[in-house]
Amino acid sequence: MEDTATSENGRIRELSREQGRELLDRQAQRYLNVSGDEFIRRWDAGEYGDPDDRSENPPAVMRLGMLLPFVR
Amino acid sequence: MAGASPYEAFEEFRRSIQKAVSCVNSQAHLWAVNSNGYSPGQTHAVTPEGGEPVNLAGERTLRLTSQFDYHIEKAEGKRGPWKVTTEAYQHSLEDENGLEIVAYQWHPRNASAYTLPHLHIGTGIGASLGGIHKYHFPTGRVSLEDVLGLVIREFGVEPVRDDWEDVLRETQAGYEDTRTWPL
Repeated sequence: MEDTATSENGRIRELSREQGRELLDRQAQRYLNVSGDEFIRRWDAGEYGDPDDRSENPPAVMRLGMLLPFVR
Repeated sequence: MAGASPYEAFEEFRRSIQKAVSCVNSQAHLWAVNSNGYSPGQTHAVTPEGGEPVNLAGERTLRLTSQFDYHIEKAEGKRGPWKVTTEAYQHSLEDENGLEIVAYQWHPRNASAYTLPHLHIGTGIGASLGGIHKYHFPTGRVSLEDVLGLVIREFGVEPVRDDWEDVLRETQAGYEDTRTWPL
């Protein structure tokens, strides 16, 4: 993950919005097998329904939803 | 977490999280969006290792993910003049295969019907659960320090610093000093 960091302040890595988008994309690909853009589209369209309904969605949906501020 | 400026409040918030995480992993970095991470009035996120699981040393292979969504706002008294307000959190413990063991969550604004703090018991618990992994068990507000204390004391995770109890006590006190929700 080193290549995505813009700067470090102690043990804090600061990302640009674009790098935040890359972060979300990696996680969406790994955990949900969709691109970051596709995850955002589905989230915004309400296609996940209740994102924390474990009958319908894996735990990763809510976790990725909480990463959305990295790209917005 | 309070500060004299939005940036100071932000720095204090993430410094406290980083210090707490350092009790179980000395290598983990805290990831945040750069200068926009302290703009008042908008939602931001901060998470160790970019939301990837942080490895925990101990009797078995365990991993922790932790995330906070927050905003920075004006406040009065000892909470001000600027403070960080948490909008959502999630702290989940996974096994070596990435299966969730337990997850403490609170996400009142993220399109979910489950607006109160709750606990998930995951399939990584290693027992036949029927449908229990779908349930939301109510809890009070659970801090990162609560979860780090849990994994050290109950799950056999080895702390990586000798002063971990003092550190968790200190960072928890800082959080309790400025929170507005007493649960």
